[in-house]
Amino acid sequence: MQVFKLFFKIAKSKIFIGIVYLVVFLAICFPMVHSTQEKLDFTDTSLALYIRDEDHSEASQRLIETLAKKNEIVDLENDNTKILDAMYYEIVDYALVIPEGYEDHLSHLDDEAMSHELFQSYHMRDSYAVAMMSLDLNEYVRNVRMKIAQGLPLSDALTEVEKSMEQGVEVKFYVSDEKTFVDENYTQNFAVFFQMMPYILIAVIVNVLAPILLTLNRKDPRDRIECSRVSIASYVRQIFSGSAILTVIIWLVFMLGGMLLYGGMYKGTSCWMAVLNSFIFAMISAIFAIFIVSFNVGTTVVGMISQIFGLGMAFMCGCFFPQSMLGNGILTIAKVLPAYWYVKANDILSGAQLGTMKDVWMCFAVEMGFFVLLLIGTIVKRSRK
Amino acid sequence: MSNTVVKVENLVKKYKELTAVDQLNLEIKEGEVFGLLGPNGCGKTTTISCILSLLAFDEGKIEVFGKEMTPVSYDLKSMIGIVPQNMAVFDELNVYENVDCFCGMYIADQATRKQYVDEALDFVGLNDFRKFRPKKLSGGLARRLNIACGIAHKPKLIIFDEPTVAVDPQSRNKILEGIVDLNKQGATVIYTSHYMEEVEQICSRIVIMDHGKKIAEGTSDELKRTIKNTETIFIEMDEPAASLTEKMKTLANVSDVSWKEGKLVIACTGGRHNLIDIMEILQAEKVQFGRVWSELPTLNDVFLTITGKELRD
Repeated sequence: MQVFKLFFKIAKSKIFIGIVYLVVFLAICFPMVHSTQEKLDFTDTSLALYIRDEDHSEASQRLIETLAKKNEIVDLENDNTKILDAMYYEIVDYALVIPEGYEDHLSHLDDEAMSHELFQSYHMRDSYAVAMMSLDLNEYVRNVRMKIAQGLPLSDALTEVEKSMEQGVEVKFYVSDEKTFVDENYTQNFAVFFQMMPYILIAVIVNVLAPILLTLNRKDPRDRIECSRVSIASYVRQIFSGSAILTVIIWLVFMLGGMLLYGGMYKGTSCWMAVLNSFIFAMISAIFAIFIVSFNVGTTVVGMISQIFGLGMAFMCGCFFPQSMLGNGILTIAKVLPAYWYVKANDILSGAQLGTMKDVWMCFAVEMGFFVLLLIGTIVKRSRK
Repeated sequence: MSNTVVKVENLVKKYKELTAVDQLNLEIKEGEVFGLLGPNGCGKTTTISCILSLLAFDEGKIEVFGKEMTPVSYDLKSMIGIVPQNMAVFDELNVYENVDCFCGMYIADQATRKQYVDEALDFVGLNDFRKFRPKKLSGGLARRLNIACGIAHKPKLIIFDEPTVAVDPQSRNKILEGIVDLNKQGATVIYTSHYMEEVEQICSRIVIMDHGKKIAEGTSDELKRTIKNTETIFIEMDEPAASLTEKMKTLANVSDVSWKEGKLVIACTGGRHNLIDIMEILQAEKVQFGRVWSELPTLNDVFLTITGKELRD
């Protein structure tokens, strides 16, 4: 156990940098985790409309009333320049002109004119407001004509259509046990803590573990140990045990830090799965540190590798930005990095991405695959030496 | 002095095209302070590394305490202490922790280990520096720590690989005295160095190496007897007349006379009254001279005679 004890004596002198990382990380996470929870909610979009009625008929008046129920009607001077200015300054989204003869055209079923011919408008080309208003007006005209075709007089047809449009559309989020995880114990806000974990775990574990291993690998003390009665197998075993236990300690400290942010013991399957996810990633970070050290690089190079690889991977894999915001090209490259699968699993667990528990386990399996690859790489590199 | 502690037979170690050790044979007896002398790069450290199984070798056989030495000969390794040329300690541990750590690689029992560590620190004179980190120690003290780490477990065979490189004279003497003490306490010592004075001072038997080969072996006196020159007399004076040097060359035991850097250098081979005979000639010729001194041959002279170059070249 002498090498094991030696490992932790050296660890004591290297742990400071890990503590610095932990404190900074928790300080950054605190406001992010405790920011106001954004609820998953739906509100119908309302437009700022200017309407100029040149028909002054019952039909035009009732159309205005119908539109006013859903949208905000803005009062402007009847001046084309002022209307255009208002649109430029986004005071109104859409200016609708109901031309003279609107009621007549609307009542005649043989008139093929649809909304874009029944009405005139001022609008920004290809804006969402145009799309919405076109849809709404088309639907309105089609429904009124359908009611008239059924034999209703215009006034009744308008009433029927108004009733049906008043009902609006009830939007409900589909929550399925199989398809998504909406776990109140593991909110997307708190998931931020776990989301950034790949960067911080790589940074801390590589920057703490690799210098310890480099110190133990220094030629002269290492030769002295090799000249002793400690067998090579025992030496390797003790080093691996030390690395594993140190990694678990670092991971546990982060998990305790997470509990401070969480406000107590983790709850719910999703949360514990996220904990397991972070544990797997901690082990990947540890084997990555051991793999780097097998190339006999210096401490400075280790720091550089951890920063470049940790930060690069975090940016590419969605630790700092949602994966949905990343381009397909980046995501394709990111798939060959373990953090991608970590973030994907975490996203599924927090409900940020669709997926099943099977998908989460699949992500864990891919992460373990990276662990095994790095382990094999380390063994091959060391056996060659 | 009869048991063989280390036996090296026909050892060959190559680094690609370079043959670092070439058909080397060594036999080190129990209780010896065995010196391995040679210039830098002559193969001393490579030989030591092969003996310790730190390096695989190409040909030959190495036995330690009568058994073949292999990387897994842990029973043999437990009887060996190594003091390498470079500082083989951990800067992250203090003096006591370093000695305790390396002693712990051999001694499992904590109480025994504590006693051994205390004795080792006492032996090298580092008791007052127990809590110091190696980097806070002076060069000499750091070397002593290096030694303490190699001897704390009381090995039967201690290998010192150039332990006095870059050490001040006072610390060097302390280290050499310590090595002699360890030998007196029963340890067999292998001492490698390119400092001939040190080897001459402490080693009971010496092997001189050059280009990976053993070029001479014996005690200091035996080695010196192998060369023709037994005494060199130096006389400070102006450049002498050719007749004076010719006259001196006629003396029975004088083998060579030359004038170098303001000194007349007279090489003698045997004889007892060489200096008196030379002084008589100087007085007869009424030659003015300054200081006169005589030097006995050194291992450097042995090396020079065999290889044609200085040991420190």
